[in-house]
Amino acid sequence: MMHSVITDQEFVPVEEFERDTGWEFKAEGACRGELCVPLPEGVVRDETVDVLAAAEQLRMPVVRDAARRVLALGPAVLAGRQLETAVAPEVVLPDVDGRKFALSSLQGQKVLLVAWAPY
Amino acid sequence: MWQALREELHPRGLEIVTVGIDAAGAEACRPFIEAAQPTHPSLVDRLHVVAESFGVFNIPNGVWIDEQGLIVRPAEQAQPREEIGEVRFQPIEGLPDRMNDILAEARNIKVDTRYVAMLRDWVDNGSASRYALDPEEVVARSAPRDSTVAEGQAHFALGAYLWEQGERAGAEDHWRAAHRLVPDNFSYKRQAWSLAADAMGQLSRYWQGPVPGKESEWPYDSDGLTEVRAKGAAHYYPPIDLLRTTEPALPEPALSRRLLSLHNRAGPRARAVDLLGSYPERACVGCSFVADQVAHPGQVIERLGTRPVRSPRRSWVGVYRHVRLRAEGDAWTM
Repeated sequence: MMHSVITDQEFVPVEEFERDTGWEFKAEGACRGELCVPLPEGVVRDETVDVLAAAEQLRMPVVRDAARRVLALGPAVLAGRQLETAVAPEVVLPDVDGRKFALSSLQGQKVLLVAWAPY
Repeated sequence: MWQALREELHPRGLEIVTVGIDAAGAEACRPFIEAAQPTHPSLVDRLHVVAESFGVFNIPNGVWIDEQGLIVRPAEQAQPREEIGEVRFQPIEGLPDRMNDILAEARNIKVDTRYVAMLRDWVDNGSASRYALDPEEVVARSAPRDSTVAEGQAHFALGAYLWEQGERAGAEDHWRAAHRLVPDNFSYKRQAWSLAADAMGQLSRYWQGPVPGKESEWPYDSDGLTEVRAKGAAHYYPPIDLLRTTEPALPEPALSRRLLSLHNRAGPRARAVDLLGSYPERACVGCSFVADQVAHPGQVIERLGTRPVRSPRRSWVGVYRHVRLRAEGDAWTM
């Protein structure tokens, strides 16, 4: 999922970072779709991501709310567009009763994704 | 209407996924989803994950994804209606002036009715469709993101997180920052405004502006009515950019075909029914479509101007605009 990371910690588990940003840590670096950004040593260590170091490498803005002790990373600024690649990002969301649905489960079909809102 | 389209196009290889984007959560979406009775996945998204992932800047928006999981059209206005009637706005008695003003402006919002025809073309022709874009164009057409926009996105997400935590003032601080940094993102504004006028009772989600007598407490720099007027309703949605600008315009679908399909589905004896209940339930009971009905205050007027119809077979309930049903005989008239 490509979503801003919100945390009260500067080190988060790899799994959490990958889930919240859509970036995967591989031997080549941080990857999404066909795109990989090399990472210097130390950004990922012992299955833990140094959030601020990763943000710097991926050109993600950091917004801090000191009073509420929380920080958010914005999306990476790499392609200059909202989509860095035409590969559809994975999204897992609940239905109205909380059952989770993964967009990727529809591979093999054409999909029209419609965003609406009750306001 | 998305549900009707899904029934038509699912056998031809299309699945529709609707995502209700609302920090107010599943319960805010539930009445609309339950009224629509979708057979396709219908999801709820408190934190605007889908919007952030696909670059959605306003609603309703659609994205096309092919069998290989490649986006072939990025986010753009998505209208399930194939025709928009010329109905002059009549102020609704009993509604506050502001609400009538909002509805009048919304009436003028220009929507592109070619979307469904484009979609059918893609479903039938796949990558040979003139509307399916190559990956480079998909990326290039998606909304811009520089470091200012990305910072605004971080603020918005932080606001949504704080709203979920019950930290209203914090959410408003960060949403206000997001509005300033990403002024083109209407979803950010509509979401924030829709939660800030909660003293307006049933109208609060649609009021989108200061509560009368408490103007100084309005936490945002602008409001829905002011912004739509400043932008001009005709420019509210960026126009759909067809791949080839020299392409002939798509034909307007024949009205008769819709009537025929209403006949086929509801049976010739279908009749208009009056549905009781309070807004928005009254407005939406029997809707066979959700997203287009509720994505904008403009759709309130659509609902109020819509005749619910119910099939005597009880197998189908729907709402059609501009279809005036005569109770006598089997005739449908416009």
